[in-house]
Amino acid sequence: MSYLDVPRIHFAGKFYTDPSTVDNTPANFNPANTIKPEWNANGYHYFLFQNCKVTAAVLDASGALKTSSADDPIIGGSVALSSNVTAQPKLVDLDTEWQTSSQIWGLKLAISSGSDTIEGTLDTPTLRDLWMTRAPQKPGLKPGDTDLGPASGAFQSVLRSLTYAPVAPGSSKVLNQFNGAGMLAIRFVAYAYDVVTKTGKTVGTIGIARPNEPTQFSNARRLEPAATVNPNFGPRVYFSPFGPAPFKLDEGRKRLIIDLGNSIPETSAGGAPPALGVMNATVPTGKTTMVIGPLDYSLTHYEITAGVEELPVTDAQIAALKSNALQISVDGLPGKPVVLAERPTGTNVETAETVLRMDPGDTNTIDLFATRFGQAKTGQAISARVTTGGRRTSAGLTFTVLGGGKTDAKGKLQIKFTASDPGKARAADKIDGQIFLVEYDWGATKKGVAPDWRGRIVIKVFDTRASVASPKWADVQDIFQEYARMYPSMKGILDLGVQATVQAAKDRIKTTLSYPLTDPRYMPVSRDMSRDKKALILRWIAAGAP
Amino acid sequence: MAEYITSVLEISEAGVPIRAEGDHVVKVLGAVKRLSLAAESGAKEELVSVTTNALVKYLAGEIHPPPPDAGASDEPFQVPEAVVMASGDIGFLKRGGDA
Repeated sequence: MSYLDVPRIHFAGKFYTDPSTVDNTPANFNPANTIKPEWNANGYHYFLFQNCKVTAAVLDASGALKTSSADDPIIGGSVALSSNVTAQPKLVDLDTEWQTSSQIWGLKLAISSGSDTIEGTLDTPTLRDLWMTRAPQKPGLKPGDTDLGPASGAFQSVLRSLTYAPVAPGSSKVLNQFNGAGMLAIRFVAYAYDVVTKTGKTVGTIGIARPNEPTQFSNARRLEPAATVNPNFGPRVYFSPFGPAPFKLDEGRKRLIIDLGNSIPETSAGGAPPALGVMNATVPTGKTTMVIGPLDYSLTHYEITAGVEELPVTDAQIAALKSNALQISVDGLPGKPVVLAERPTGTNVETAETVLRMDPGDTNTIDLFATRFGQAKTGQAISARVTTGGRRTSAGLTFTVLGGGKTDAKGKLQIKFTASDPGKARAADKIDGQIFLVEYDWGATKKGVAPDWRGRIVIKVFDTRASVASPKWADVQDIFQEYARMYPSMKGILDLGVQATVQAAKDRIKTTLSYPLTDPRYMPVSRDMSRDKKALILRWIAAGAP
Repeated sequence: MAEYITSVLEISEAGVPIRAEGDHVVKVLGAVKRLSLAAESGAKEELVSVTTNALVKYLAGEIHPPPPDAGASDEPFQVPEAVVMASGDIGFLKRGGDA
């Protein structure tokens, strides 16, 4: 089961995040340049849920939406940051030259019904389906003003290591079912972010995760807007009237479940949608268009269901959906246009992860999954290529599409990456490593034919750093001073630019550097220190930090 | 001369059904919208500053597709017909009619 199955709960509320913005500007890495601070230079990169309430639940196969605590006491409960945390979770970009794949590190969530709580730790999710035009910009913006309110995107992952308190089973049937599951699936949408309050709105859904299922996407089907593709950011960053929507055909329950959480435009950030008339899910079969049913896209309903809509389907509609593309149309616009549609061929390819951090010598693999109308596509050729240009070359990363470049019986294929020293390609700007854009395409590469580009994996490969047998302050000074300059909020905690301060805190620094990357206490928060730099600092500390 | 406007997605996935004899003009709305970014970073702050005026007008029903060819049978598009073009304007797919 997944978040689109039953049982599931929906929640709505706010999120808070305060990323430091000095590292938004690549030129800031060079100490010769004057710092351009942007709108939040002193940020801590925290990512928190605020006042998130469980608004509804779907408890059983009927698909009935329940909104009263009389149906289950979890309704009206909360989804919040666990109080059993050692540090605040962090929101971090991959690199100053790749800021559209933000990740959340070290988030532990508590789902509570009265005094009963189930807690789990979130696998680090990467921002997906970034939709830049969900809402219009604020009126009256002046040059230099920042307005992130129009942007919207989704995080999907699983909650592991579940614990229940005080004693299971409790009075909530859903929490009891969650507790017995071992792992929960969660998807939430972050939108309407305000740079002044540093808060945005969020809606989300939690269900039971299937073992061995990809964690960061639903290997189901997908509606897309007719978005143009930006060559800088790949096919899955959207500048379109509507946003993409995963959906699932549940034949057993005779239900079509569509996640419109990141799909419906707004007249203002976080506000009501435009008047679009009746929005219908339809299936054109060539001869006729079957209307499956209307979708409620009102703001009030959205904040109850998180945009996850269930429609009953007949046997004839199920048969049609097995080999035809789903569409969504609205009758309130001229021409009653289709605004979202599955690809006519029904083909889709998803990747288990969209970003990697690697050091020279590392190898890593990423799984890709090909489907056609929701079914595994066996023997499908998938190809990959690296986009180069400017100072982006292919030096520092090689890859192999395993399995002869074709998907296996489960529609799965792996790409194996091997990193080597990228050769300090960005040394002139004092930026470590290199960013590699690995594009994956449907089908084999054909000379003279434009690739059927489906997505992108972005890999950061760090530079090597020469080892020093007996390091002194002069050997590590530049590393500390870069973090002091780029993250000024650190000055209130520990001034990394001052030798004596760093030396006095050496044990603390050793501890934070030694946590796993997934630990919210890990430093540097930006998770952009290479293995070699970290080893050099730890060797310097081991020598007494001379 | 009959004019068909299609998108990269439609023409590559489903093709374009041409119903009449004679010469046709087929225009493919580009799949590439290039943004002029101040930095190579692609900061979300820059991406979000893409003008949304055309989108707002489209969603208000003020920008709409050309009327369908009067002689054409109802043959709906298999992909969304509104496409955001490189200029930031909204373009619409079209079946037949005069070029």
